[in-house]
Amino acid sequence: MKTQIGSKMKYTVSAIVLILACIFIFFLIKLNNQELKVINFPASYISYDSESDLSKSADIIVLGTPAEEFQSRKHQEVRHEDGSLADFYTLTDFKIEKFLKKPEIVHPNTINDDTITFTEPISIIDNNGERAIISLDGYQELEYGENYIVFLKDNGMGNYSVINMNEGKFNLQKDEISQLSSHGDKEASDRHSQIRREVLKRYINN
Amino acid sequence: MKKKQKIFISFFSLLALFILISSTIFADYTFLGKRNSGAKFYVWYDTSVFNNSYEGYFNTGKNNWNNISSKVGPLTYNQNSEVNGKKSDRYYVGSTTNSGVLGYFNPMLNNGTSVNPFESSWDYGSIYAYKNQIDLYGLTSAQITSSVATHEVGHSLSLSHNFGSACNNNCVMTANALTSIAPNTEDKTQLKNKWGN
Ligand SMILES: [Zn+2]
Repeated sequence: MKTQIGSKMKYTVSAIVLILACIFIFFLIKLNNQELKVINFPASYISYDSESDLSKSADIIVLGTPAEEFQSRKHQEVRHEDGSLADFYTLTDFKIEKFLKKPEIVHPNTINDDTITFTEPISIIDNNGERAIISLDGYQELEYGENYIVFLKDNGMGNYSVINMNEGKFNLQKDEISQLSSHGDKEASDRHSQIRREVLKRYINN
Repeated sequence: MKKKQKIFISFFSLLALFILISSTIFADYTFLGKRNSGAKFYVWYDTSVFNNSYEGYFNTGKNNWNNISSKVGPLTYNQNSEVNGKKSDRYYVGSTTNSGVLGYFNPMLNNGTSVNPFESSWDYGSIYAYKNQIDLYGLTSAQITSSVATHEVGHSLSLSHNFGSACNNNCVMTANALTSIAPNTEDKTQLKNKWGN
């Protein structure tokens, strides 16, 4: 009798431990893969409606691919003395395949061998204890493993940064239309497709 | 029977047409979220606003939204950042690393957590005007008043970017062009659409 109860107990305890371990591992995996919340701040910016306007205004037009995953890049935030979020951006290292436009003098420290470093209007911050992706006007980061044509402008402070938000970088392989309609507006997606077609026509097709 | 069918078909095609037209005419360009305490609130200016002489732009920018809807405004300046235990909206002048960005709006909960205005409501907000980019691109006073100050305050009143044909890149809430105007008919329609007449 005694031994029977003992083995039954053993089974029950092992079963409970096993179940608890499974639950623990499940939550650990879930926590690890948790996608960061995206906060989209509305912004006002200088906007370009066509490939020709973009090409004219950009200081640098470059074809290439990001050197790292977004999460591994340098995410910056600038706080005002009272703690308010004064500015934010991500420093992106980008492998240059080809310059499509380049000024005679490029800011030093922005180009290193075959890599150019520029800023994107998006970052990852500590939002009161929770890490979150913050972006301006629905801007989406350049994806690792994808090839882009990117339009950059001197920001007057020794850096180059992506202009025209999502309509300042164009994925060569796919139209990022569905991802870009973060506001749910078809007009904005149509605009992206239209400018992308013009950009590909000018810089890729001939 | 045939007559009935005809009436039936024409009724439904008319209905479909009506829905199609109304969806384009009454397109909604507002955030899902809004300021929790409504659209009559106090605003506070950081010293950077006075140091850069931007108070005139912000004064006009916020007053431009008065007298459109009985539910909106006045947005009243107060030198205290908290009035009657409620946080005022906060206006700043600063500089940004992002080329061509002229300003932005950050909606927050009382504990300072930022929220996504497209999804949820907020307690108070901060507006930054980026003087380094405004100067770099040589905006006129009228453009700073319209495309930066009035535009950002419009965001704080739940207006999103207006891509519609009624705006035609020519209303304060457009994202596609610089403007020099006060809120026009389409801006006012969207404001009333959000808050009521
Ligand atoms: Zn805006």
